[in-house]
Amino acid sequence: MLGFVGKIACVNLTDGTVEVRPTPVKEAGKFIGGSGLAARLLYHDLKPEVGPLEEGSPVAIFAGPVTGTAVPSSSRFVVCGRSPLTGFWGESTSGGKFGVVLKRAGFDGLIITGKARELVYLLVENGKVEIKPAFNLKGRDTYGTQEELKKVHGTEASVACIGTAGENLVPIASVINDNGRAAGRMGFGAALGSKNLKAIVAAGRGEIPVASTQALQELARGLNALYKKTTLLTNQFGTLGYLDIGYYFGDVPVKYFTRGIFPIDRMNARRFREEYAVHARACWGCPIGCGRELKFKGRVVDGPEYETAVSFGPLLENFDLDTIVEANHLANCHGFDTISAGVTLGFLMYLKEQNMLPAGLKEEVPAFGDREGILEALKQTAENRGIGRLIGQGVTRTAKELGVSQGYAAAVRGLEIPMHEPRASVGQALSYATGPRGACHQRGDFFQVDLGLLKDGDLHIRGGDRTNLQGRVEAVVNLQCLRELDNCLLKCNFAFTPLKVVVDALKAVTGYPWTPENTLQAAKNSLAVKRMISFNLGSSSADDRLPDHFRKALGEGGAYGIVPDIEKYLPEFYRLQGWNEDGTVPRELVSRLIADDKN
Amino acid sequence: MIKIKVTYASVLMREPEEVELTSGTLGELKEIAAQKLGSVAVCFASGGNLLTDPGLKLAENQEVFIFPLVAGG
Repeated sequence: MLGFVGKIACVNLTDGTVEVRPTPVKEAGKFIGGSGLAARLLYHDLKPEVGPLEEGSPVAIFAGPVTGTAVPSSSRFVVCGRSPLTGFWGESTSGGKFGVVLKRAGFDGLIITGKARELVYLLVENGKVEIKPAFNLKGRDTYGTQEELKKVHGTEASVACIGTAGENLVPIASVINDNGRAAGRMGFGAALGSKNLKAIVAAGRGEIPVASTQALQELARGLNALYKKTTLLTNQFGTLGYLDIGYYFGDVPVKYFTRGIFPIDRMNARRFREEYAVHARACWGCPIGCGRELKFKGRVVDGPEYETAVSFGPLLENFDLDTIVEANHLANCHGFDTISAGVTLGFLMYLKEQNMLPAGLKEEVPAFGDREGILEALKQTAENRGIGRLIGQGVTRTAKELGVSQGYAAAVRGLEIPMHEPRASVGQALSYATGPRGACHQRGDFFQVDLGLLKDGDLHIRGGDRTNLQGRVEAVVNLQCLRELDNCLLKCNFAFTPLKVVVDALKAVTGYPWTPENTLQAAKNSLAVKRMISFNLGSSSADDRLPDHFRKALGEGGAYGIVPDIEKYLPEFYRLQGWNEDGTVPRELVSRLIADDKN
Repeated sequence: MIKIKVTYASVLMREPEEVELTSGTLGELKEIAAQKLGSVAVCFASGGNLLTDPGLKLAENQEVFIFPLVAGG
């Protein structure tokens, strides 16, 4: 099967060995690649008795079969393994160009185990992997680390690295690459930190083989034109352009998910553009250019995208743009997830307001809207001290430590609910509850279906009554599968692509006889294996739910009066995914998927 | 002939306005919006609900929100 460069490097940092294995392309027929293939390869090695920060816990960093090909918006890579944040299956993707250069350096993926004695980095270059000392990078922020390593390995190299949060083993630490691009969620920065691995440098100019260059180029021309047309305003305004659209529908969480309105005139895409000199930045080979760079206090910084702007904005009742930009820069520099940080800080603010915090802690936690308090709390998060220690461990563990009911913790399977209010779209709520890594807006962004923004007629994905899923559970399942494909191909999900075009792209790249049926089944295979891994690590169908915090209707805004009753849709969801009535994955399916260990 | 109140998503860079409709249908509003906004594909909502049926009759003074596809991730 083409699209792969044919090698995976297994790096053991404890004994300093690197074993190069052939990419098991036979498995790609079942899982396509990317996070699906990684899940399959890690299946037996993710064990409940091995904690995510222990030496024996592997971390996989994979590109996908379309990564680095002419397929537009396909520069992504995924970091996966046992999540330091949730303890279950974890995966986090990022753009930039690291995934492309990893393949050009000769590898489809890396599987990293063990722990180096001192801080090190990996140099992946022209088919070889070397372990190099990084003691001079200790304590450096992510921008400084990238700059330093590019001085050594050239500006064409791409660097994925951790900041101080990762070094300090903060469970919400990110992996940052290509300036401020982030594999933000699930805490894999801490996983790399636990291995004393500061960075991975990829460098190389190798070819990526594809089955049909001509078919791919024709397809790419069409897709480039389509994406340019459908994402014109995303290019002009970035994802912040969604702010007032989401607001209209009550999709923007406010004051730790307790309110539905805020002064939208003070905080929208136009205001950001008026306030700062902004220009667009694109990942490798992407016509969309959703990234922002802006001038802030005399320097150029990566601008906040929608999720971050809301996490550090309305969610905390903060409408000061400077504070949001600075908070985003802090998170990028130190390398931690903005969604998890914002939600956990919001949770603490909520408890403070409700008089539910222990006396000593109450003084330390800022009130909603306290701009200076927000920035100080985030600085403490990177350093793993003060209330930052609580923020850094995420909302689920913080609730447990404080003895507060998990019903108040805005998370599913330990992953904080992102900035799309589940009460604004019942389909989104069901997607959150059943997502392969917990509450995730990228593995089932059904809010966009309900707004009429995403459609795939062949898969019955179309807009409808957002308060009711009657007759549309299939659409939720199919969208989750389409998004799973994005993470297996490693394609950006902002470039929404109907299934039949995904199949054409896969065929042109791999030469494998993909059809809509076997492609969709591969997505289901991938979801099934990830679910099995999480269940092996202690999760269960009982986790397919939203916290009680969301059982109370909002009294204002575009989600007024809606309480998603997702339990009634679960049986149909399980059936359509091919799972048992109780939500478990059929034993025979798992046996079939993981049966053949030899490739 | 009816008049409706139209507001636009901020990225469309248009101020709120009243729009006159002869037939009063969503389909007519879609045509007018296409003339004003060019090739930008947009959706329509009112009262927090998505409007899709071109034959839908709008009411006098009904408020309609027009918004484009913008990735919200």
